[in-house]
Amino acid sequence: MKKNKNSTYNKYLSVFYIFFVLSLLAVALFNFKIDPENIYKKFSKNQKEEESFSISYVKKLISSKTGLFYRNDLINERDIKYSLSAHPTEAECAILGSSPVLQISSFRNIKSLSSICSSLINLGTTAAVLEDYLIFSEKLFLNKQAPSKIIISVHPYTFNLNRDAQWLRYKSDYEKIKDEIMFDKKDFKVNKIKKNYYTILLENLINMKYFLKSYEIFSLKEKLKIEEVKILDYKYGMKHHVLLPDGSLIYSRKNIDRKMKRGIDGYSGIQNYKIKIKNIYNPYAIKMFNRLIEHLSKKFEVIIILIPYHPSVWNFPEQPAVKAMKIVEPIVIDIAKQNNISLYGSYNPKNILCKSNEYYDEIHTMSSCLEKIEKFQRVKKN
Amino acid sequence: MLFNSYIFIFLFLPISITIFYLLKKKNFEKLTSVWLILVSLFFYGWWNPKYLILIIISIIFNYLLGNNLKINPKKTILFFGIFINLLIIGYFKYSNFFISNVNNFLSDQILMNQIILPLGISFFTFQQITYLVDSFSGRTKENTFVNYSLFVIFFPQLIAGPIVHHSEMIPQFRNKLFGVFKIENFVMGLTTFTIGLFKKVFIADNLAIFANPAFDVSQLGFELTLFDAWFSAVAYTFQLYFDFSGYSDMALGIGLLFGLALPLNFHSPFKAKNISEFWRLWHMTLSRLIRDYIYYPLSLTFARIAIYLNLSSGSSFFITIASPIIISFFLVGLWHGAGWHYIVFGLLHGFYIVVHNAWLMLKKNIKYKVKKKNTFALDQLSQFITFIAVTFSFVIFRSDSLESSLNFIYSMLNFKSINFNDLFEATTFGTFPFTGIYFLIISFFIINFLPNTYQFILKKNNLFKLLGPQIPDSYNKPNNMLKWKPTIKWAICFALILLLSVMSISSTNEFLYFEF
Repeated sequence: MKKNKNSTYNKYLSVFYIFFVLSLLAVALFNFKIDPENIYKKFSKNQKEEESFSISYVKKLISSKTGLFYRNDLINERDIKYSLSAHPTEAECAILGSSPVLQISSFRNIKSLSSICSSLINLGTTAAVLEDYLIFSEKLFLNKQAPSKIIISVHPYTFNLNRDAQWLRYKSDYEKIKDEIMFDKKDFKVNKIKKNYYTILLENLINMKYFLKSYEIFSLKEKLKIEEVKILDYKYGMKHHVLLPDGSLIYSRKNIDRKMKRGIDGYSGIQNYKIKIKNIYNPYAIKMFNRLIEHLSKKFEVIIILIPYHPSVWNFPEQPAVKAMKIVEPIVIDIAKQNNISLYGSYNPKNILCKSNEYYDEIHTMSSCLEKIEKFQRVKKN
Repeated sequence: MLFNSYIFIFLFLPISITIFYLLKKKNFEKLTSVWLILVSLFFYGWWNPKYLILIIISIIFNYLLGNNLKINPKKTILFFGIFINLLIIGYFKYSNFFISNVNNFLSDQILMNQIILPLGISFFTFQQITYLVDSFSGRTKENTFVNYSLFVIFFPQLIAGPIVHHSEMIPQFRNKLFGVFKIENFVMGLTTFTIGLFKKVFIADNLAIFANPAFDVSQLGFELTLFDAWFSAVAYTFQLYFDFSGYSDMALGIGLLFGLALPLNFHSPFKAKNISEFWRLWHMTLSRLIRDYIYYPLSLTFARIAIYLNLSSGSSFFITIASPIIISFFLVGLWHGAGWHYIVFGLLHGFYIVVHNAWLMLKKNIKYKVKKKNTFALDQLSQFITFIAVTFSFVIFRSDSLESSLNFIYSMLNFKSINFNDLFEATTFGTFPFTGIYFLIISFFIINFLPNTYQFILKKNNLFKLLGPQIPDSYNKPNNMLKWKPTIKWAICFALILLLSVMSISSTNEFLYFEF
């Protein structure tokens, strides 16, 4: 009787383990094979073929007259911007920053920073952090036909390390430039990633979100096409996001609708994206940023811009974002003065004269607001 | 190290279990307990190795004092022991709270210390105080230092309970079968752990996404719409339940993987029909500790005073029932954290229970009886009222201050702010409002209709039977909606649940009860 009972439990345990291990392996293999974010391609034989997608996308983008549809759920934005930063260009400026800079354009109907740059390439990337700035800078530095000016948008959360992990896909570029600019030995301890890079890669193989993204790509009926836009609708957007030939973005119709629907009432005004009240900035990150400017100044003219948050955010001075803006803005001004570089803009919309209806949400301004930034110069280069 | 982390699931746990059973199999019996102590120390030290010193000193101190009390049961020694334990927890947990209140009161600025709260300090301190009290009363037996240490530091219960009693654990360590691999325990442990992990990473963490924004908004002084306030309050109430009961299930499951039974901590508390019942089914081991070591002694002392003073029934009710309840729940509040909102949370529950007791007395006096045909409706109504009362108290518990909790409660009661146009628009529930609603519905279904972990699986386990009756018979009703058996169908089902849970693990989501 007892033997029987034990064998039932043994069978249960065996089936449980075998089924669990096999399905876990299947998930990992599936994620590895589909690899929606191109993280594992360097370990596979198909690397060249996959790399060519972002390169061919960029080639087609810069030669297009109107821009290309950009499925941000299927195409990796970082890869595109990474390829764009390495591509020879005639543009005068390159802009680095997080999603609030994505609308900055020398192509669209309302142009931004036009008195500073006759033309630009937008390397702004959603959720970009300081580490991304270093990676793109490295690519620009190596680009033989790069723009002559680099415009860096400093966000209230920029002076931090490890606030996002997406940059890790270009870890080797980051390590390279970090080694070049951080010459103090003790600085090498800075930005030590708590987890081993390969551990992160392994964990990601069994990540649910990655699996769902893999499945989405797997279930596509036809291979992802690079499709040129016929007619641009700047105000209401198109069926998907659109990347303009300079790398700037027009949100999709759905996205603009959703953002506008939130309106300026209700809870808008609360926006603490990537800001932690106990760690508004990291002194090592500021040091790293200073070194980056010194480094870039050898080859480029560096300009800093600050993009204003929505007026409603400023109605709540106690929230971390406002505290961060009040602390970070003077630091950026000091950095610009110390390094003798120009600084335009402010986090406070009152300074720029941006109105509530010139925003998609609390941190994403429309081009009509971005247009005004260059009129508010805080620090002049001697 | 979190139970819901890859390093714990794929490295720490398998290694600790394998070596544990190998030691017993290779006849290194004495080393099995030592091994468990070592892995528990490693587990605890993972967060901050500095606090290992604190817990080790605490264990040595209480063990020696407990032994002394057995031989020499003097009140002065007992009070000294309790005082030292309270001093330690007072310094680490309450000193800054005390200083900030003195500063507020005197408009002075005494500098606050930068103290990091050692994890699980409330759990291991009170666990050891009960040991001292029982040693004084002659209710403890001769224990080796290894068994005592393991009772305190056994890692599944160390950080967030259940609060184990020495009489439950030490006999299990002494048992000859301790360390002998038993497939039945292992299978049930693995399945229980899987249920707990699923509750935490799949339900609680997803509910948090919909509960947190409203509390953040309220803390900044905003008023919420009525719908947002209620949905977020209920989402948090469910989140706390799934988070904490998920942790407890995982703890019980890990215990079983090592062939040890830990006491139950939850038994469908949201099915409670009154607030007293709720506390018998929610965080059961804390309720037990407060009842046995604070409420009963206080109640007994106050009853003696009432008899001595020959008080009227009203005064007697206040002295013998209301006062011990209020004091006990004041301490429950304080136990949860150093903040006035925690104290108010405790006092509010004390008040609820006093009201319930007064109602029971009144019912008895007026000889109130419910007609049988009305019982079902009345039960549902009672359950609903209890749930609402608990939800209000959890809003206070969740808020970062008393002020913000009042702000939130104001929104919950402000019926003028009903705006049907805003309902389920992208506000508090973000851009995917319906996902939040789905999670609430699923949670409601699980809580109200599915069997709890004990009914589903643990009831069948022999180790749990040895722990004695943990649930009063009146609550021990079977739920036959789902029945677990060690069949292939269930094995595949739980392997899939584990797979889903493992895939949903996110490194940032600690357990809510870790701060206590």
